[in-house]
Amino acid sequence: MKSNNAILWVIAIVIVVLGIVYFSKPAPEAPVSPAEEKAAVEIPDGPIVLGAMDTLTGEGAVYGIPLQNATMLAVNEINAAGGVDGHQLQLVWEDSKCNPQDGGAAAQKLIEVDKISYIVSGDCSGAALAAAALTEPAGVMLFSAAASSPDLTTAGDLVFRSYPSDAMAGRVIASYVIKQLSAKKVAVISEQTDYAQGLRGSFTTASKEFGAEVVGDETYNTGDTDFRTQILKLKSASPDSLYVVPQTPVTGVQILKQLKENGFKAVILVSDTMLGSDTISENKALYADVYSPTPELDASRPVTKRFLENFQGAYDHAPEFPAYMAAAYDQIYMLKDAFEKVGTDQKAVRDWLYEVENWPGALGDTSFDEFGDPIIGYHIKHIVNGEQQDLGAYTP
Amino acid sequence: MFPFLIYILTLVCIYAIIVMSLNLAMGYTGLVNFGHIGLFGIGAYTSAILTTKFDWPFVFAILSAGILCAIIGALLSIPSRKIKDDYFALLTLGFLFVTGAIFINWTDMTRGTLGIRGILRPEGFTEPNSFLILTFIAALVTFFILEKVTKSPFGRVLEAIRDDELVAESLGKNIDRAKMTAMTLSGFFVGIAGVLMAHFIRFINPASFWLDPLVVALAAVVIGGLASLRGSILGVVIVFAVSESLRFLSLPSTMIGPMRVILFMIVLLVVILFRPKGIIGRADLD
Repeated sequence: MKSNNAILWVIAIVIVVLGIVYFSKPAPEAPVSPAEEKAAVEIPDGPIVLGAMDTLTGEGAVYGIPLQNATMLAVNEINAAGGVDGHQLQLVWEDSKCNPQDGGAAAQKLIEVDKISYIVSGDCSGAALAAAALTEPAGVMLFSAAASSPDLTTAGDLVFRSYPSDAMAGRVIASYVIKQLSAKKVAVISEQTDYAQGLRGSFTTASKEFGAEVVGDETYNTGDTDFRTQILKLKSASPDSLYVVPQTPVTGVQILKQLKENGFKAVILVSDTMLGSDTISENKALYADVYSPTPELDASRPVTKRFLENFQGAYDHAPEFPAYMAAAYDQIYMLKDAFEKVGTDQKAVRDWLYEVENWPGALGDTSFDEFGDPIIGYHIKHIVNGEQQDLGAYTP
Repeated sequence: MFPFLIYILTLVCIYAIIVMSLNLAMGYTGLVNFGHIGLFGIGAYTSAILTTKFDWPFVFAILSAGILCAIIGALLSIPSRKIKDDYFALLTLGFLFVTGAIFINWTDMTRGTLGIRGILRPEGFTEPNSFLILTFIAALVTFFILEKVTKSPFGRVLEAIRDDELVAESLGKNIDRAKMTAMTLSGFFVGIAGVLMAHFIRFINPASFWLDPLVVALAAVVIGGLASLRGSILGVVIVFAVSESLRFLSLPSTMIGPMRVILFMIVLLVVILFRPKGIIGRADLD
């Protein structure tokens, strides 16, 4: 009797699965037909619905929620000003939880259930890469503000990002320290996260290319608090310069503290995660003589000023991660401009983005390279006893 | 809608394999194995590395991954001779941390936190529909093999070990060998699940094999019930049905993430409150 039940049960499941497979067959053939392509030059009636993926729960929510706030600020501003050619913008949010499996499920739901053609994301690289594997074949544009992994560069023709790849930042600071500060021996200490490893990789590769010797390359795991072993090893290699690449400023400050305690003498470079104004003002003694590359976030630019002021007005505090959040804010305005110029067809928007030059955003003047990565001017910041000085734009 | 359903059903099939194999160790044999997700990751990484770095065909990669995980599962059972119950659970949790550290730090092979991209689906199964059929067949085969094992005299030995190891031993049963066999089988199947996951998502990184999937697997085992393969499948279906249907609930955008987690946990609590042994469970965790 029991085995009969099991067999019936299995047959029922097989029928359900085969039924679903059968009925879903026509779906993949849906990409834009020529007729639709023509019609899509204008914006269809009704609101423009965008998918939005972010890390809304778990550890990554530290970044995800501020990025969500910046995205919503842009959407609210646009809607309050009358929308995109009279069409309101709507966002459908999904939580990607910063991991590939949930990132994929979130993207799949936005594509197939909500029938969305654009996904804006402030997501971790892992979730964004898994999502890109689904958005690209479905003809959906993925626009990311925070996934900075170099792997995303080649993830697809419809994959864009408004924040530059780690490959760029590592190269800029390597070039600066070697060419301008005459470092011959460089070293790096980095956290085992995709962001930090991306920077580490581009820094070491570029350093060798620019003729310096990489004498130290230490890593540590997220959550570590004692870095003395790595620091002693780095000290014995006596580099002219050390690049500190943490995922979060808390760990970075710990490293700077322990470097000082151990009498480490070299030019200190830090990644832009350590440029939070609160972090610097609370640790002036540690930021005695530190260099860092960062995309231009010049508060004197009208659009940057508007972003910073409106954010303060809407949320009653300054942006937590200004550069990343400016990128999230910019991607919505960039899509708005694209829709107004060429309509909502993905291919037309893609072509517009490739052609756009020095688009004025809160993060800086943006153009895109052939891979959909932004070409944004980097500035070198020199922090002396907690005071930030902008040494101006720098191109490697 | 259907492609999204297919995506979720594929995940359900993969998780069904994970949870059934976990239930063999945990529900039938009484070995609470938190390292199960570590083995899942080893399976995924083995196949991803073999197919992307060394261009191995999928069939050899999946077999190698299964065998490697079976061997590691067998090795993991050795300490259970001396370390019992909660202490064994802690030890296997340690194993999960070790595998996580390896995935992150063995960068030459695993690319560390950057993860492995460009994992291809096997030929003939590149479309989501056909890949679902592949995972469905794999889940079905796992079910029938484990059903056969657990219903056999050997299965009863496993249950005897779970209920009272001393009695089982005094009846002349070789409990060490039985535990090792159970963990070997459990390791083999979860390794296969790992391979399927890697080739399904086509991108893996260490975050894919950390605490999130462990929570899902444990929740499914507990909800479905210990020592019941049907319960395992039911548990997975419930966990996915609840968590995925919450995506369709319209919530204010600022509350979407936390509210879904809260509602999911409330549903789990209700199930456990009314069915403490799980829905069709036959055993209690001591």
